Amino acid sequence: SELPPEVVREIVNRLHTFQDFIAVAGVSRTWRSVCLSISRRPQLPWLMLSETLSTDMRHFFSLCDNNRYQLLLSEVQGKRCWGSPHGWIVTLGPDYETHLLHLMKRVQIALPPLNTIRTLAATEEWFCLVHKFILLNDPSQDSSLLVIAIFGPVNRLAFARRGQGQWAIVTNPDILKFNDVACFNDQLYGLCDNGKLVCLELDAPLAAEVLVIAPQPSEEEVSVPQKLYLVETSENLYGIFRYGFHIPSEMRHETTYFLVYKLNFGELAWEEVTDDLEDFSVFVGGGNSWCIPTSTIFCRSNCIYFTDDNWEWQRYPGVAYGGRDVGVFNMAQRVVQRLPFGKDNPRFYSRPIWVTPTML
Amino acid sequence: MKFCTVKQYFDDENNNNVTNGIATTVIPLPNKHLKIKANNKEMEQYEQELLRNVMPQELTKLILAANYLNFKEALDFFCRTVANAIQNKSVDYVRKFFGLESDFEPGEEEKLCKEFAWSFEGVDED
Repeated sequence: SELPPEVVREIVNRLHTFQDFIAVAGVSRTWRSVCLSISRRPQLPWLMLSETLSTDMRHFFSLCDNNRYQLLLSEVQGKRCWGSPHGWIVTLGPDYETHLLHLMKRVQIALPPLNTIRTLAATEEWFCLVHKFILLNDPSQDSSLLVIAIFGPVNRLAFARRGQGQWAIVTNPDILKFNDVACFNDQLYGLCDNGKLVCLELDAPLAAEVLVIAPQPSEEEVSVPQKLYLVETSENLYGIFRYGFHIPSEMRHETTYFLVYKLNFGELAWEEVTDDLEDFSVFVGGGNSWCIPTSTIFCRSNCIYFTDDNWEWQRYPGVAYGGRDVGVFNMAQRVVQRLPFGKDNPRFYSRPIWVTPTML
Repeated sequence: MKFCTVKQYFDDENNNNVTNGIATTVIPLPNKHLKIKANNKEMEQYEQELLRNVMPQELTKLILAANYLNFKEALDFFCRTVANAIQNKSVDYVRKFFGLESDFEPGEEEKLCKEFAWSFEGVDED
């Protein structure tokens, strides 16, 4: 006897892994339609591992069940990729073509050509031209499309919208170096320099406004972070500061700890979070930075999961420098722990990234 | 409110196939739930007991009963039990568990299998 859809929904909402989700979606038409309708629940991402030269099979590590999965993905062969929580990744190839690729459905959306960006960063190799792509909404769900690119030697900002023929460069008279962008309460924010918070207005087509609204924390507090990330929960905006040390002989960096700051909107100032992250965990690295509420899913809370997005030493193609600085920072114990994802060999253009698989 | 719904449930002609066994499992649940709500280990043991002694089809009926009675705690508990029971299982296993037949066309089903063409492998040594 068939279960009514609302009951099927109660069961599907309590499944542990994406693999279980896919399995039950094949049970019957009712089950499939329920699965497709609730694909927006919070979910642990997969770690998309570095490309392996000899094969089009791409390996993934699931934090849900500590298993590895593989997916035939010839579309990303030879390209650098950036992850997101929307089920899509951004790819950039040696031909300077950029695309959005839906991981599960293998559908691609072409992004505008990078000409405007290249003229401002002419000396960069293709794989270090853009430091980060941020996919601000889900192309499967939203008809508008907004992708941010942080590029070049001084971390300038550019953005692309659906229907816009080229990347629009954000004019930046104060020469702010951008680290990350997030959307909170329908407002775009950028995190610049060593923690300056700016408001971004990208409404006017091909034009943009940048306004500093909160200063960076003092140097005594934050010294010189290696990387900075901006993440939002439903309630708050957080600045995540990443620290570690260089190993010059091996030309790599190793992360040792993080500091977390919460924005006090009343004072327009950053305040350090010294207790636990309230019921969420953070994912940062190559691509979007995001939080997952841990009250409803099987995930360790109070942790910062990170991948290696320090490309400082990767100047030339050939030998891969870095890419192995991947792990999880336990906020309670203030230690970095490794993740059991098995073998991974970064390439000069390919490293592990976080991506949340979705059905749509 | 819960008592009224229970009475209606048994008076309703369509629920003639509700056995006494189910009624005796669902109705004492609030007491048990209240007693052991704070103790996760006992809930886990109760869950194991449930899975061992109750056939999947009965578990399905328990869920339907809890849903009809709008008994949220029971619904949550039974659904979580079921989600755990079908973890890492194949599509066929899930169908058999609920006593369901596929209503996809043969070609359609094959296409769905290929749609997410991925496979599992063990973690390699470092």
